[in-house]
Amino acid sequence: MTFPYPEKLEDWQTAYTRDMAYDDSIKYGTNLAAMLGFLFALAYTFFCVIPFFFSRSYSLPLSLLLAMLVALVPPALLFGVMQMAAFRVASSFLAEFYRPPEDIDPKDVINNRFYGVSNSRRR
Amino acid sequence: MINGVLNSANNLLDFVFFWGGWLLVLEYPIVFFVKGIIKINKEKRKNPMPGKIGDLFFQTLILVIVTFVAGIVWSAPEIFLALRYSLSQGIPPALLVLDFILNFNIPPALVSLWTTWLWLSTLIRWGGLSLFLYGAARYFGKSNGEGRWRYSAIGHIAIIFIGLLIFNRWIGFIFISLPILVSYYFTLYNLAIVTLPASNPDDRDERWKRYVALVTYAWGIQFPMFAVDGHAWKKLEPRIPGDITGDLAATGLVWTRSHQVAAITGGTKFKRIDGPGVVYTGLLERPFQIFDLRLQTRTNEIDVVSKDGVSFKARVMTAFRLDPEPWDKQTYEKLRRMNPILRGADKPSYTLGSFPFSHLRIQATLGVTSTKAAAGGTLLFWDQWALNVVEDTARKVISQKNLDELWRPAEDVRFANALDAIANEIKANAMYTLRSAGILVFAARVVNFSFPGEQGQVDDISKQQIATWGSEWERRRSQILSEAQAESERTQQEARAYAESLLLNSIAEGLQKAHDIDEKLPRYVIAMRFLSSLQDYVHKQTDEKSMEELQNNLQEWQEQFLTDRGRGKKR
Repeated sequence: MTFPYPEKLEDWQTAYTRDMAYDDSIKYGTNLAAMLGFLFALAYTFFCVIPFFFSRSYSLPLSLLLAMLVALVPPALLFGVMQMAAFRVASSFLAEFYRPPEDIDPKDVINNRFYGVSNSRRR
Repeated sequence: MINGVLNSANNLLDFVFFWGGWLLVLEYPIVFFVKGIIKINKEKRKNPMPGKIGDLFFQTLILVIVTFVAGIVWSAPEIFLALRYSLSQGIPPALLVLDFILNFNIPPALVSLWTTWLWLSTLIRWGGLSLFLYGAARYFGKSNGEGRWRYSAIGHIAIIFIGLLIFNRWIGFIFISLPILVSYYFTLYNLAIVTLPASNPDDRDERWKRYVALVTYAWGIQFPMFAVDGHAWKKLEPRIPGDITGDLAATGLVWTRSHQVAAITGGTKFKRIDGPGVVYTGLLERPFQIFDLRLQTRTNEIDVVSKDGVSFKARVMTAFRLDPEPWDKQTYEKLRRMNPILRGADKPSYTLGSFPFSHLRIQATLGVTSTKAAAGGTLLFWDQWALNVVEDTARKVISQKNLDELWRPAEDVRFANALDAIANEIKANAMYTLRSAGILVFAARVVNFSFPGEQGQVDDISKQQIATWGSEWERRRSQILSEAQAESERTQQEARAYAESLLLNSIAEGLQKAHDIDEKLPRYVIAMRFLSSLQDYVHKQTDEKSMEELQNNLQEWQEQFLTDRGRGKKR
């Protein structure tokens, strides 16, 4: 977001555009992906690289690879649940603090701010 | 091979978890004591208070006992196994403890037993921690957290145990539970950035506070959060309630408009003037008053008594604002002597935006007004106080004037206005009183007077005085009116005489001219011409009514001149 805001009032309308919001969401997604990637790399190192130094024979069996992929499904589900919980907290806060009109859906507002796209548009 | 490594890692982490817990339990009283000593030393420089060290020792001793009990609870599985071992081996538990204390000796069989049951012990400890987490969340979040504390506590406990139980103990905790919890808080951070208001979105410190505010909200342990309405800044109710006494690292916030600042108190002490924008509050902090930086206009009807004892009502109007102007040296010196808080307040300390202000001046305003109460014991706000000062000054100014001076100033020069003179006097008298409290008055004037009618509660003396004052004005009015009427009549008489003389002169001139043309001209011809001239004159008159009258007169004259009687005379 451009801050401090532009001096000219007519520029305020374009101070934070949909594209900027999209870029922000990409930034957030990149950070999250980097964090999860790091943890996955850590797990890979722990499960595969360290055993290699112990056994002196590096090999990644297909069964282990499949098991790892399957093992990712429950964490992914848990991850989704916690993301929903976080969004629920934020929308609850928004509704309670800003008290928007009844026809405004707080989740829609947050999606708009967070992803640059509202639910209604995505539908 | 992998299983062996994982088991070793899990066992190591079980061990670290146990002793890490003990370390935390032991270090807490030490940290508490050291912090206490530092705090006492700091306070000693400002205000030496004997007995503080003794209190600290006593508090630390209690804390040591409490933490020791916590350590016993933390080691409950190991103690239970030791008891079981001592009973099975026929060794009294006290002897086992004594042997450990004196010789640091633990039987190898007991160590083996502990190692065997280490994972179960870890699970029991996690269970205890979970119960503690749930209890603490309930204790702190129940009153203001609605159901959020429950969802947060159960969610965290569930994620931890899913990692521990389903995904291979500590490995599952580290690679499943922790990343999910970290991603949850990472998402909360990003949501806080897009959801909570900010004064400066790029400020890292402010970002962190917004994050803490949302996290504490998620747990229901937040401090109160206020959003100040634009026109209802006196009714300060939290949008999200919270407990300011909760000794947690929570953050509250006060969201003010660009023309508002908040006076923050901490407990019973004034803390700071903060804002505009978002103000973050800490432990025991709450907004005491909101100050509107815009120009304020207020009006009120007050009871006043004039110098000659007449009581009546006056409507007072004033316009003022929190002083944003830099002071010259003379003004500064004068105001500083009147109010020592204003030391260093010779210019605005906040100059961003459209509403500059001085923190010290607002503190001075608060200092003057916060100790006063309005009717009914309610808090007296600064704007009401300013109006009160202007009202009192207006009463004093009016009480030094008699009724005449309310309409005619003492220095009655051309275009002089009594209300302007009164307004100048009120403003001059109230100016420094208000300015020493950080308030700049722009206008203060009486805009209307009203005397109660028959139904009003005016007393007999005032009635009599008003009647006397009124009769004097009535006498003056009658005198002026009669003089004007006499002058008018005199002018009319003069005008009439002048007009008649002009008319007669004109007629004489006309007759003379006719006679000069031809001395033998018959008289009736002259009369005809004379009448014709009169007729032209009559036609030049604009007044319709007088013209009609004149035509009638003319008709009469024609009849007189042109009738037989006239001709007979002519002959």
